Amino acid sequence: MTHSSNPKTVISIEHLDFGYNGNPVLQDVNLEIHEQEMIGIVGPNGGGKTTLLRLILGLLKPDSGNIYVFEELPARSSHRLGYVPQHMQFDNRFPVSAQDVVLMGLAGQEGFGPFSIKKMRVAHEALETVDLADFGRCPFAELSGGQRQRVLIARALATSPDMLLFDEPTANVDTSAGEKLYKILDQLNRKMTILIVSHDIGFVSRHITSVICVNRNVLVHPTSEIVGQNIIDLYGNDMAMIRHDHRCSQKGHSCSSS
Amino acid sequence: MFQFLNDLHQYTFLQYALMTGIMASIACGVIGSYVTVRRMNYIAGAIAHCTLGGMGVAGYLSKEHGMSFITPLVGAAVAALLAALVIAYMLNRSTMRQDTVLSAVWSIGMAVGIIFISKTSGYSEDLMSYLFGDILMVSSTDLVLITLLDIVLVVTVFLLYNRFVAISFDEEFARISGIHVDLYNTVFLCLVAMTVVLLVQVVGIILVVALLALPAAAAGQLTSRLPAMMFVATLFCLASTTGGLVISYIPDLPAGATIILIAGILYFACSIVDKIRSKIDTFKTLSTTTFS
Repeated sequence: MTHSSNPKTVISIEHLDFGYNGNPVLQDVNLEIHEQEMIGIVGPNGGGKTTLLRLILGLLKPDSGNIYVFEELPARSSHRLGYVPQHMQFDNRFPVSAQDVVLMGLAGQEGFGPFSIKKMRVAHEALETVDLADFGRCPFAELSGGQRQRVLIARALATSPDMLLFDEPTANVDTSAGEKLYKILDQLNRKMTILIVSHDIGFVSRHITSVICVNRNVLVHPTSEIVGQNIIDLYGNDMAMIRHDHRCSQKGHSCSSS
Repeated sequence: MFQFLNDLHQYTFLQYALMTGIMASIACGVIGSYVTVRRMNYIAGAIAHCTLGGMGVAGYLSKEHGMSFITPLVGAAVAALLAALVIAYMLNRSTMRQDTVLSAVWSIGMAVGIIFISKTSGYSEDLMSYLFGDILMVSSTDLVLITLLDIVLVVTVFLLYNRFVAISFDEEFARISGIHVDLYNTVFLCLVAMTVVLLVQVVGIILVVALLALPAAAAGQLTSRLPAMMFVATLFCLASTTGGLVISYIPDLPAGATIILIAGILYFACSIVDKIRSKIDTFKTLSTTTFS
């Protein structure tokens, strides 16, 4: 296990291979993510980004190679990760309020029976952080896509994580809700590492520190800001664009696989 | 109605039947709501049909080998728990298709039951009461066991409610946040098994799925949080079992089928109320946007 001391390594992946039923999905992945970074994982559908995310979360085990999260195996440290899935995957008719969903982040902690007042307070604070303090009693199903996404962020925050991982946060969310989302992300990034998976983004928050391109292999690019008027017109102006067409110098890759 | 109340005063079998209905309603409302929001009715169906195996073996052992302490209810409970454990193991550990596993448990359980019933002398008339239930046949020992099952069930749900909801809503997140999902899913299936055993006494194997699904689905249309859904589902179930018992008593209709019909009527009534309500809501939104 290798890790540099400054800045602190949060996730380290060494020579990782993974495949489903013998079909390789990820090959020889090498990666280090440091504290306080905001990372975007991009790549085409089927390129393996979700697989990489699931490996980090400990839901899948690598075929070979190592993966360490907070210097431990993912299955042991996953409770320190705050995972925010896509809001579209949930049953629209599930009878829960926004606050119920946030409290689910605390369900695994010690204690049986109803939630304590302390846990209720934690949930309320998490809702305040995502600007939804007044929506606690609202049925989850009646919220808009952007609001649901923020409730799921609050649920992840309630677990007091050291890192947040997002799966397609802007999918099925309108532009203004997306902007709000990125504002919240920027705020949270001051306190913790953030990793965002997105399937077609050239567009991510301007605060993103580097981009991991996943298409069976993994390449890490530093972000380079580009102002294209047409993109601003289309997506609003709080965005930066990641160039995939340029060739990074070897120095430009903060780490790379061959 | 008057005749029913009069007889209720007089006959213990009718009192036991009423008590069984009440006990079963609590289990039905609480677990039925979980089963409905988790879309696990087919799992409940498999466990229910598997209880025929247990009841068949119990009948055989008590009639042919004089082990009278093994009542059909005991047999059903053992078979249901066994089925729940097998299903939980298969779903957690194997890559088999879920419906294949369930179909296997479903039909193998029934096959075992049919073979043992056929080998039990003079016992095949009981097949009908297993399949369609006979709430009027519940004995005092059965009632004690039913009450115990109910207490275990309510206490377990009270203690594990938060974990069950978190797993039902998002199993993956629950796993990541440190909940032992496989363990709690196994416990949950055992609770479903207990509920099924209770409900088999009331409406029989074949109609169990309806009693688990209909009151909970009806309640789900009127409520927006799970505890409320459980409470209303329990009330609906209570109305169905008690109503079914009263209505079927004088014309001597099968109680199980009458109970299910009432549950069905309640479900459709709630669906209509829900439809009308959402129509009114749309109309209100439309008129406010038009006139403001």
